[in-house]
Amino acid sequence: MSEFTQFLSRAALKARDDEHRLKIAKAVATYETAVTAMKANQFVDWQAARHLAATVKNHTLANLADLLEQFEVAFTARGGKVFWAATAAEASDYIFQLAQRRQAKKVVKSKSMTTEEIHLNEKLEAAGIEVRESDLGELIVQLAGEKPYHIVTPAMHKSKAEISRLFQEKLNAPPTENAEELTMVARRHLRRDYVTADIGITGANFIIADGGAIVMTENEGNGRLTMACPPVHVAVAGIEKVIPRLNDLSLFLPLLATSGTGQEISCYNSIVWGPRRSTEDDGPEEMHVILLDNGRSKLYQRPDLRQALRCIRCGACLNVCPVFRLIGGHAYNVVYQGPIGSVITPHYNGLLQYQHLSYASSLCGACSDVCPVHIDLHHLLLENRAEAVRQTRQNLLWRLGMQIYAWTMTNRSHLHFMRSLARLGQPFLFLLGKSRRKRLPRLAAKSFAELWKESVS
Amino acid sequence: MSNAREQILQNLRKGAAPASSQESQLLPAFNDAIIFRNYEPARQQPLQWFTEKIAALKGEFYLSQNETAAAKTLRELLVSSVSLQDENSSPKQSAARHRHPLLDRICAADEWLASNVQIIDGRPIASPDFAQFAVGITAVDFLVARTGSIILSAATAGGRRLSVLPPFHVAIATTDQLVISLDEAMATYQQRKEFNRSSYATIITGPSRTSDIEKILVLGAHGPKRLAVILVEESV
Repeated sequence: MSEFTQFLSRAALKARDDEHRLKIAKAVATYETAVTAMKANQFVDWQAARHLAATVKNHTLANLADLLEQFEVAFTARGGKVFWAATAAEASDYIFQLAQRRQAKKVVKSKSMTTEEIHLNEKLEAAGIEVRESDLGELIVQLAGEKPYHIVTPAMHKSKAEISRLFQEKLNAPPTENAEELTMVARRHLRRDYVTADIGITGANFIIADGGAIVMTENEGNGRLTMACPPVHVAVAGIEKVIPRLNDLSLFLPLLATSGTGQEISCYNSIVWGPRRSTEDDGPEEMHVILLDNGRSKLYQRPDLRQALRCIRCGACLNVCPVFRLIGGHAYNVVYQGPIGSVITPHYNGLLQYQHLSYASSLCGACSDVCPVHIDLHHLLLENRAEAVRQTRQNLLWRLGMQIYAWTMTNRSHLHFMRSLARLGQPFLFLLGKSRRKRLPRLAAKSFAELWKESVS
Repeated sequence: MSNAREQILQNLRKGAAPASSQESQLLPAFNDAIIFRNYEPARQQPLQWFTEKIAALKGEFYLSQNETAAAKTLRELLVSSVSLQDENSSPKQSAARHRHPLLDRICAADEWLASNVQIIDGRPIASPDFAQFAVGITAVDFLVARTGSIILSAATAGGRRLSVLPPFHVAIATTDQLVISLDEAMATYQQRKEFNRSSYATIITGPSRTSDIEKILVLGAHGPKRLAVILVEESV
């Protein structure tokens, strides 16, 4: 079965799952209340702020090669190592070899979508290395044997009752449906792992070019523990994560927190300039930053799509997307779900295999409206559709249909002719197959234009 | 390895907008005053704003007139937190700090503190042993009025673990460290050489939290469950 067919069946299944719909509706409602209030309370002018952020990111992208080199020079000078990975495999191989060299038995990870992108857990686990996800949501999906449901809220689809059953089964936890008690189960479970892991692996929310640092945003503290305790720290960052100056954080951190969770600023924002210095009491002996391309520099070369690389992965476009809310994160079967994922995935994973994602949108534009860096997401989805059509030879029936459509819609008399044909043909539509969930409305006996003409005459 | 580097940079250079283009050249300068609605009230009453913010974040705030008063506050906090049991702490609760002029003076001002707060600088402590500490006491670099944040670096926190591994973090600050907003702190980090020697800084806004389960707020996910800030008004 093709990725497309599987997508359709997964989506159809979830779209009819009322329980799923309720869980997501509840989570999204909580999110939206917090975000709306925070935008109004914190920002003088939210629209101006996102415009400013987009301008900073445009400048960054226009100078991306230089800024990445600037980061590399400064970060290397402080004793950090920078590895450029053209592909996902190069990135995961590098970490795998590092783990072998360090004779690592256990790695602890904080939430990172780039490590999902390079299939790191599978690679390390196959070699017998224990991988501990430490973010609460990530831990939940790891224990359940699932992939993250949402780039910011990985366990958005799990109820307290489901998490309780999971913790009872996998962690021998006592039954409870109290969110605080469940959180404490995870806290206790992971406590030892931070201090016994051989390598700590994180993502990066920002790369600072001037001065050479990575920045990690979180609320739980698992990221800080991952960067503080193990003797090696590896950060996997997409090459588009750059911002030019440290000062830019004063805009981007509140922007990310507001759009991501409706917070003024996230609980912990850590800036890391390199491994432990000789004057410091602790911190990792080695620090590696992996600059991951994996399709980004190819996307970069498309002037019409480049703005997608402004993305700061706040997840806002997922939360507002009517398609995401209906079919859920797992239906996409990709690392980056929702509108931004549908824009970038075809370019990272193969346009022809993933072109159907460009159609997983009502083109309502809610995503573009909320994007804190002003990405015109729904128009980029249209670009992807056009691109896919240009690259594939559509089947004969489709091309014929499209030609008839073009003939009909570009001339009024053609349209009138087709309308009368449609009235004749409608009673026989059932021959094309019947859907129990979708019924087309009957064509009116007379169109508005016809009624108008009658009333005037 | 270098192949990938060259290839990526080449792709980016090939696709880059011309250097003369507007987007290549326009890197706007901005400051928090024009972006944030709450900048102005925070500027007018920084201490009051910080106090309200940290309370709203479920952090604790204590204003001490001088170092002797701060020592008393710290002692009371430590004594009352004996009941605070973390999963991996030994029953014998302990507080730890690093060497720092302000902390040295405060702990010297109180006999109980002098004998009960361990100084951990310069001794390599294995991470598992480190996890035994119930309270971590650190200095800070900045307090940020607008967001109610504290900012510390590996230099002023004695490393990275002390402010995150123990379940209770006590941060001791002086009034000259209070800034209005984040831009001021970031600009100082960027400019001052002594901060640049540190490998790590973290902006802390309230105790550790999560909403990963049904969007319900829970404090103390993996980091400290309790955060207390003691602000010394008149410091030497």
